Amino acid sequence: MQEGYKTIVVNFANNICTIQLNQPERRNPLSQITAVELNDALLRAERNKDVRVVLLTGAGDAFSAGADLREFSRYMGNTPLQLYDSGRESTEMFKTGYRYTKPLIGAINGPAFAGGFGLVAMCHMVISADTAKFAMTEIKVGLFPFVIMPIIKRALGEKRALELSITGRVLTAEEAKSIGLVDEVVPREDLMKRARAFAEEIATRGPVGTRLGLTAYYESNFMEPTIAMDYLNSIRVVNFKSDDLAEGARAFLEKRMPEWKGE
Amino acid sequence: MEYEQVAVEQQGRVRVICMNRPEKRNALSEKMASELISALREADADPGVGAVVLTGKGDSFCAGADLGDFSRMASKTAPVMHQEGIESTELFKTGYKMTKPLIAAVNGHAMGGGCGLAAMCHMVIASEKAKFGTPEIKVGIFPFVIFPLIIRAVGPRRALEMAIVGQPLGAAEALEAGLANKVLPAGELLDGTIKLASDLASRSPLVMKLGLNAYNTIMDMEVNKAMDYLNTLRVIDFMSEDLKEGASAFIQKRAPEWKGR
Repeated sequence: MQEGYKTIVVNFANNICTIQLNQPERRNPLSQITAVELNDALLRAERNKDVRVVLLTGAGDAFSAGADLREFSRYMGNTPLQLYDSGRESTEMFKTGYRYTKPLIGAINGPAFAGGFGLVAMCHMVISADTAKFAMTEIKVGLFPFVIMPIIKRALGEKRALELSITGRVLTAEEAKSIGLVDEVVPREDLMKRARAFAEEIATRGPVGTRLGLTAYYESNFMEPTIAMDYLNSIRVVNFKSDDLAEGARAFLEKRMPEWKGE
Repeated sequence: MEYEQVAVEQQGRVRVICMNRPEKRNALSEKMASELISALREADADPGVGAVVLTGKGDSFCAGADLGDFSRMASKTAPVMHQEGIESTELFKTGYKMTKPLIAAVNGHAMGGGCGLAAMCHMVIASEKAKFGTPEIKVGIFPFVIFPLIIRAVGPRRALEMAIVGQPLGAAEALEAGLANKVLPAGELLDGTIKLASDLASRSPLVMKLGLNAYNTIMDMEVNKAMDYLNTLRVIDFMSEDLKEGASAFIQKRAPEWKGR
């Protein structure tokens, strides 16, 4: 798929790739097509050597406020195999995010419900507008946030993940910050400025260490800890022998900014 | 897609993917690996394909790593080697992501990465002349990335023996070890494998997909959880038209007409 996206917009500047969910009149639902496009955009940004940070946001008043329930009812009319197949396709996007090897920052401009909540939890760091709200609303229509469960658990811990899944309750931005779903809350009008400044700072960190580190984090995650440490020791050797680490150490001693090459 | 080191043909509902660098004994270069990934993914996505056969043109199935690539390693930093390694490892992960049966027709030497490719396939039909081995230890490396696949094919102890001794297995030994499902005379290999693949391609594609998914997903699951997971896949199958059609056809003593839903 080339850049002919229908439901998202992708921009690139200063080592930052910004992906914007772009169906503001429908509150940016995480539909099948959006999940596929988002997966494609995330994978391209991950492979692009010039991208250091990915910023995810939404156009309009909502970040991603859940499915259009009329469309949802039509979707439910598909055969079990169609639901299984299309579900697996959209699941790929959450898998990509879960094991992402570049910093993924959420700039949450408004309500994030259902799949949108999953996107927020998937981000490594989150800056939120004060007007945003967060909820896993699936339970209220008789569903459950299935696929995003591992992502929510990782972001919030098991008990909070279960509670929010069962109650479906709505959190304010400040409440979301108090449980660790959100890192920083800013006035709505300051959101993108603050998110970009934050992304630019993260973009100055070593890309090799970041990539290897995030790779190692995902791969060692469920290993028995002492075996994980052996695995991590070996990937550390890869980092030790990078040009970037030599440059980073030199730059520190010479009191200047490092010039990263990404290898 | 235009392929340089791979040749793709179709016979009925069987896609035949041939490693096509016989002058280099089908060595697994970076280019061949990337073309194989494309060809396998294309076959998996094509509704006109019910099964895939992987084989080699010429006398060799696949001789493993292209030693030319090894000598170019010296100029690369460790992070670059690591990243390129992750990309080429994708080939060995492609097998278990297939939703259609992937059968290797091993026509000759399957060494190192070539042995890994055979082990990755769902079934292996070996020519009497086939040889399977992981002799890497003799040149100073170990069959690292493919090791889990070899273990799954022959069991841990036999896999370790293959890796540390480096002695290849002939077709009969491969059959006995579980790496090959069947051995055929060299002249009958490709036709025999395509015939098997055609039979598999005539099964319900829905059931194949669910079943292959079941196989791949439960591999390391605790057994009770595996059964519970498989129960959910069974619900999808229970609700399919293909199961109703299959049951009716059986009772009416006729061939089923699958719809894949």
